[in-house]
Amino acid sequence: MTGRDDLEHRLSRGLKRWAQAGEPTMDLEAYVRERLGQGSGSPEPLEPEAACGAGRGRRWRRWLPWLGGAAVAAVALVVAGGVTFPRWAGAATGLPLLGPVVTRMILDDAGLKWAYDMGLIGSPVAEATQNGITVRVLGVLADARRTTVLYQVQGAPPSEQKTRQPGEASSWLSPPQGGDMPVDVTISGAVNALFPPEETPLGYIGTVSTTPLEAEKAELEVTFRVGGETITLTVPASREETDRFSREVPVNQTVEHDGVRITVESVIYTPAETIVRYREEGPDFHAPVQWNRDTQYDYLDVSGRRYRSSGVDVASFNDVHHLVFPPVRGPARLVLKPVAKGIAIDAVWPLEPGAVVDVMGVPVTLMEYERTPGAIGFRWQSPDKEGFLGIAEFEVLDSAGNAHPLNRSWSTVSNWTQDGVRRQHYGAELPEGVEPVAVRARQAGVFVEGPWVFDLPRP
Amino acid sequence: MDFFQLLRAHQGYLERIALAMLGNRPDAEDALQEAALAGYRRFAQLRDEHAFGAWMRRILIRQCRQMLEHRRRSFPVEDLAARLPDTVPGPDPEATALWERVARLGDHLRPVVVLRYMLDMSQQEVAEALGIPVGTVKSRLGKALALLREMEDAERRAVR
Repeated sequence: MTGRDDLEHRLSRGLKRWAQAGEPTMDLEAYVRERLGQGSGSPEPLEPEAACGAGRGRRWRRWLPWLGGAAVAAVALVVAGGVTFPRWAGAATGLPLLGPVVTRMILDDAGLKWAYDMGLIGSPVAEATQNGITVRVLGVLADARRTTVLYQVQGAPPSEQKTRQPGEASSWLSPPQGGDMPVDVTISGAVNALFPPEETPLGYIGTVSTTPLEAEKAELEVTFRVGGETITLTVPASREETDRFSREVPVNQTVEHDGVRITVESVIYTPAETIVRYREEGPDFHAPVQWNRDTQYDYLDVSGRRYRSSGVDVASFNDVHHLVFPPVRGPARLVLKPVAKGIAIDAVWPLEPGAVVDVMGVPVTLMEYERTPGAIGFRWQSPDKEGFLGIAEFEVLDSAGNAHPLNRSWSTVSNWTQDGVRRQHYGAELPEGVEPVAVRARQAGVFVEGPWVFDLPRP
Repeated sequence: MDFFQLLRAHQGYLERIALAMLGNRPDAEDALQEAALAGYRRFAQLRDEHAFGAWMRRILIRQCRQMLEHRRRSFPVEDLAARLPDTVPGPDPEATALWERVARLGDHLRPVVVLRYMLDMSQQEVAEALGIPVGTVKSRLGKALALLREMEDAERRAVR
């Protein structure tokens, strides 16, 4: 066999093996059903639709069906500073830990991967078993942008996908599903990232993160609720190791434009990431925003090369945000994408399909509405006008003129454009007995273009 | 079986094909999502369930091709983050190492290698799948193999 033949042969064999080793990592069914606005059912020809959000937003939304609903398991982190603990106190040993899922979770996150390579995570920190349920903390990564707990739950029942029964309300008029997952994750306090648990041969595995530790060392109280069981583990967390390899440089630059103020507080250079900490202040727009990934993205400009941000930031408008970029050597210029801002409006549609209201120069048509015993839903349509992001903050009015807010225990929402048309839907709880005659939107969304440009100091 | 049962059975493999074609996970996820949506909509046209895997592969490859063409048009500026290969472990070190080398090939070379060697397509089929002449497939395969050999040689030298 010649050298070329040998390489081709190895390529063919090796790439096939590599591909066959793939395991599902995405909830494609939830994505497809969400895009088609279905709960379940057989395939049927429908109009092509666009995603509710693009880029990070769209990827994040694929996990939404895994969230919310009845919380069977909850992980609560309580951070207390200034306490000294032995490193990895309570560690268990000899347990099956780094299966493919854990490996992928680590490899997908540059910060976690670095911590794993450094030996900071990957070994069990603490575990407990109660009535057949074993919960285990596989590692804690505390750095300048987050405090992340990697955990495992064994003994929980397998998840079952709920199938909608004939006659059951369509998904946009039902509370978001999530209670079908025997292990669900919520967190008290400020969540800045969430990776819902995945069901794996090793049990349920996931990560949950909260804000960075304020002290160098702290104690995390992690509470798992699985079925009827509540199990609490206490684990130490420390930024000592990660801080040793990181450098935070103050920036403190503020740009204010059109009612929105963005302050870049600092940039943190680590071996694995360049982290920008910044704060947006202004009126948030309370609906999903569809970004054009080709033109609207955050990036670092380093000598003409663009480094896009990665990672998921679920911070709300007026919280501290963290953008994560590949490690760069400065000087770098940070360029942020437009900001979605909410503007107060008072737009009222009578509950008549076809009713049109002018919102900031855009005719917005109420296409249809649906009332069920415990809920109400609406669909609107409008021309896709540049800069106009749709409507939000809804309430209904009854015949006496009383307003009934719709942001109660749950809501479903979408907002997307295709072929020059914006389509929005909103469904929410509305108690029986309320007889609405009109729906009001109290907010419209617009882009604020900036320029949001900040010169960052060298590492 | 319904569409999603069949899709779940093939999903891991399809995810890797998308990743191999596109070279990074975010784009691969987008491509697979769009392919799943397209497959769902056309599922009634599939007559034989046993052909589901090949059928979905064709849809996915078409989606990947669109994204590659779009990427060429849309990213004139160097985007290092998007170019960094994703490290994804294989079942053994050799398979993983092979993938890591292939992942470092550019967008014009990597898909040709993937279709030819991972999916066993003929050069004519690769040309049709990517919408390029057969001669271009041949020359790209030649360049890709030369680069892969160089990478292997460099790694061997580094080990010594």
